[in-house]
Amino acid sequence: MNNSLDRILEGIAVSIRHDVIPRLTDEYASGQALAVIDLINNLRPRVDWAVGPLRARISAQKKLLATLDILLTGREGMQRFPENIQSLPLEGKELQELGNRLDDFIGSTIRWLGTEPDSGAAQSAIMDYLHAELRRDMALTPRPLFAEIARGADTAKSDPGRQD
Amino acid sequence: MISIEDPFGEAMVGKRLAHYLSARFERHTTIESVKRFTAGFSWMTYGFVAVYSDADGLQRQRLVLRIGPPTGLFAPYVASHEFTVLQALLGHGVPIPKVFFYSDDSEEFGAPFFISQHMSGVAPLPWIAPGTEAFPSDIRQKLSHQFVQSLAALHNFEWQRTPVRDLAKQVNIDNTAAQQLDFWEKSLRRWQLRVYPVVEQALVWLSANCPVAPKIAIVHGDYRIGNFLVDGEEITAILDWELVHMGDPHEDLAFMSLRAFGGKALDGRFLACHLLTREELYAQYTQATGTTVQVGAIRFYELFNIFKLFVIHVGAIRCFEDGQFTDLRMPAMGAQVPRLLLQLQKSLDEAVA
Repeated sequence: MNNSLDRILEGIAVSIRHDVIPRLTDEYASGQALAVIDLINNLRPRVDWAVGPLRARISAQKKLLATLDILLTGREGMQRFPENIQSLPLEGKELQELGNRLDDFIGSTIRWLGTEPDSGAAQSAIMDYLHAELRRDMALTPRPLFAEIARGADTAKSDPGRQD
Repeated sequence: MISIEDPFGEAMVGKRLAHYLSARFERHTTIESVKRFTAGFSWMTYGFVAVYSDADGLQRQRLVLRIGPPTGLFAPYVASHEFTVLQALLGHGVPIPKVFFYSDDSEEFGAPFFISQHMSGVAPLPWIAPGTEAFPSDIRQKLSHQFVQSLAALHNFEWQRTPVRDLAKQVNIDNTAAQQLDFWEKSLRRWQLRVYPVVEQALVWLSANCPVAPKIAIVHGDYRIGNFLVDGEEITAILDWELVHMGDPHEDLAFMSLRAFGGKALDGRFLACHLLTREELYAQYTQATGTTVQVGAIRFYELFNIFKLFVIHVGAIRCFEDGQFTDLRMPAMGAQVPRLLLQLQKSLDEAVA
């Protein structure tokens, strides 16, 4: 996921209150929608991202950095991740932030390797890592409901409202 | 209690339209049936009817207002580019609405805007149920022919002696790919909340492989199913010109060929924009324009266009995260970023191979 969990939950509550409930005409449906807001307000201070996928991501990142360390040691301009990551944080939010900092570092390494000659083995290791990460992410990503969202209905073939 | 009226709500927009069009038409004009369309995350689009009397009696004109809001994905907006291109293109083989008025300042509607003709038809969507086809075969052939001919007319349009030339001042066949890449990379850096290594890998390849364009043409920038209207068996309008710019025609060709906008026919062939195969597209385009499609340029622009789509997703994620929008379609787009990155990775693998 790419938005913060708290912002997603807040956004869901705001959208239901301002964009959904005013359009509902059925009292039971409105009550259900208000109950969703109430539940979200209770969940917000209590929930966090699942730590399993975040730990798996960091484990793969650490493995890649260890491989690159072997392949690139001694090269001028090579950087090492500046943090000690032997022990990992416990909270989902902190794990996510650490994973993002590691991706930031991997991104810098990729840009640096783009200018380095004879870096084929390191490039291959990075490509393997990228493929594995995408497989992991895709396993967590259900089929999108773009058609239904665009049309506001379960079956969608065209949008009669476009004029832009 | 003081209530603050939404400046972009239908009621306020209707009042402003009546004031503005009364002045422009130089006669009292009332506004009816203002309706804001829900599509899009960027420009806000409203349909309305302008009612006024002239020498021929009571007139009712269906029009469309587009406003580029200060909080929109690509803010700050300019209406003049889109207006200039549409005005120049009218009557040159590209089905487009007639444009009437525009402004790049915020005095009249609180943001840049333009007003155009209302066009009939519905916009077919790129997403269809598995095992179905977007169009019956006979209609598909007619629509695909028209869609390719319209693109050819756009790219063959001789803009050099029109006001469009002002949009091409800094662009030439050698720098257009790098300029586009630079624009979208800067947008990425402005919006990104985190780094995606696969995107950095794609940027390294793109930077090192910018093609020379065969010529500089008007590039729509978002030429695909979902951005044209169909009425019966005919495309009545190509819509959504907000990404229009001067550049390499391969950019549009590669964009409409993306897997994200196409699907498989019942016989298993991939149809670009659910209309025609890539081979048919390139052959028909070459015949219509006289420009040979370059495989290397298509490869570059396919990867570039997936990157561009990714950046737009990142923009939506950022706007939602910052609280500029509460539209839940934005984080829903964000949740599908892995799917887009998978396409990026596949395209990169093919490019590197």
